Amino acid sequence: MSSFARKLWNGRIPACFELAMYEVKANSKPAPYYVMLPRSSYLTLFTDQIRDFFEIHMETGTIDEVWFEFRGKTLKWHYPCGLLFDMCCDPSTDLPWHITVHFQSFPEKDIMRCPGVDAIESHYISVLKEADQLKHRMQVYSSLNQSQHKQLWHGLKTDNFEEFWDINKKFMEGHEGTMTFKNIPVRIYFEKRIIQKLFPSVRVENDSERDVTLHNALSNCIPELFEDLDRKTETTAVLIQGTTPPFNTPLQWLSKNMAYADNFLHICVYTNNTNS
Amino acid sequence: MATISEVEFGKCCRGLYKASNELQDGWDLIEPSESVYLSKKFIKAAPGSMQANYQIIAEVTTIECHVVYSPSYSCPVLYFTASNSEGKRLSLEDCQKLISPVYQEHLTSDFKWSFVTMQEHPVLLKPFYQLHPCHTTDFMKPLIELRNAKCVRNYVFSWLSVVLPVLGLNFRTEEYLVHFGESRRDGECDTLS
Repeated sequence: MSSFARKLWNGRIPACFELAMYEVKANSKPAPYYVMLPRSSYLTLFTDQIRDFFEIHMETGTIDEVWFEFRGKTLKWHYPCGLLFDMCCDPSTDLPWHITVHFQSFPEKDIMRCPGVDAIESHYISVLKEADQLKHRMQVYSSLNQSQHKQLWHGLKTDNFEEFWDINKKFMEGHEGTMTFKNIPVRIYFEKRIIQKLFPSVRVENDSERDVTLHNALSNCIPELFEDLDRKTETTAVLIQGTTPPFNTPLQWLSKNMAYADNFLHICVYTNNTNS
Repeated sequence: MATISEVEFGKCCRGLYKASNELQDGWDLIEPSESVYLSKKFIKAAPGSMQANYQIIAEVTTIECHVVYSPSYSCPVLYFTASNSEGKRLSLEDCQKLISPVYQEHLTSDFKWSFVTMQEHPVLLKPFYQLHPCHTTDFMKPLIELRNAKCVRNYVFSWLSVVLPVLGLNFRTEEYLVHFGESRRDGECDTLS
């Protein structure tokens, strides 16, 4: 695995969890709870420790399922932490990431319930399977046994790089003996939409094979912003794992080096007039 | 595995929507941007006891079904929400009870977490229940046989006729068949009924 993978794995977002004031029984505000959130992890993996920390400040009998909010926006736990941060924060002003913790009025029409760690595992595996369906027609996932599936999840859950990558490297092999994936798992987040299309790793142009690049994917999905790169205004921003790779980077390389633990490339696109 | 392209899916949805309008079957076609999906609300009444010749309705469930294309699996996927007569959403366990007894075996042990799950609706970005496409294909064999027999040309129609009964929902297969002008020869299309 690449040294890139280890650097990304070590990428953390300092987060400061605070209880919603109107839910506190006492007049005094409880101290905040600080966590370094791994980019590929999920917020609800921290629910137990957060609940234990804040529970004493709550009236008994008023506790529903825990949920999280940032500036009035409900945070979707089923997106990896790094993606959530890239979607709604500006790293130059929003660190540490101030997240409000709620114990009441779970917004079930807006976010999925997370009854426990099993639900997070189930969600993670379903996204991973979809990614493998795109990369290898699900052949890698199907070739792994139950204990290997468990090891992958356990490595992610416990933040153990070696344990996770020992299995995840199999998902980074090419499809059927080639050097590349069949299709690249990509999701583009733009103006409250998720755009997902099929992107093979190479395309044929003038009888020769060329890498499909980040720019190809963006201009295919959002032509109004990316079709004409010369005209590209500085008001457009593209973020993958908190950084902006050069637009001519091959998708295959990005997928191998900058995907999340669920094997998807999650790409956030903003314009100045998008306030997502 | 029977797959379909996104363009063909769009065409089939429009065909089915047109047929549904003529048959007054209640399917809506929704085109928020480039993507297209079908939606319909079903009302399911569970019969209760008989009292003085009147059937008492024990429970009314509203099931809203959306048929959305999955580029990853290259096939339609069924998303749904279900609520009771007071408008309260049904839990995952209650939704699993909607599954027809024939398919209940899929809900045991390891399948329980992957057959019906809560997922984000890919267009509305809200929580919905989903019938997982990789299990749907397990019982899509009748569909493939149908296509081979060239009985039905609209993929989404054939797919609905197989998938809706999984949730115990009625699909007016025969009427659509007549509408599409597909001849039904004995022995070839029995899997539809």
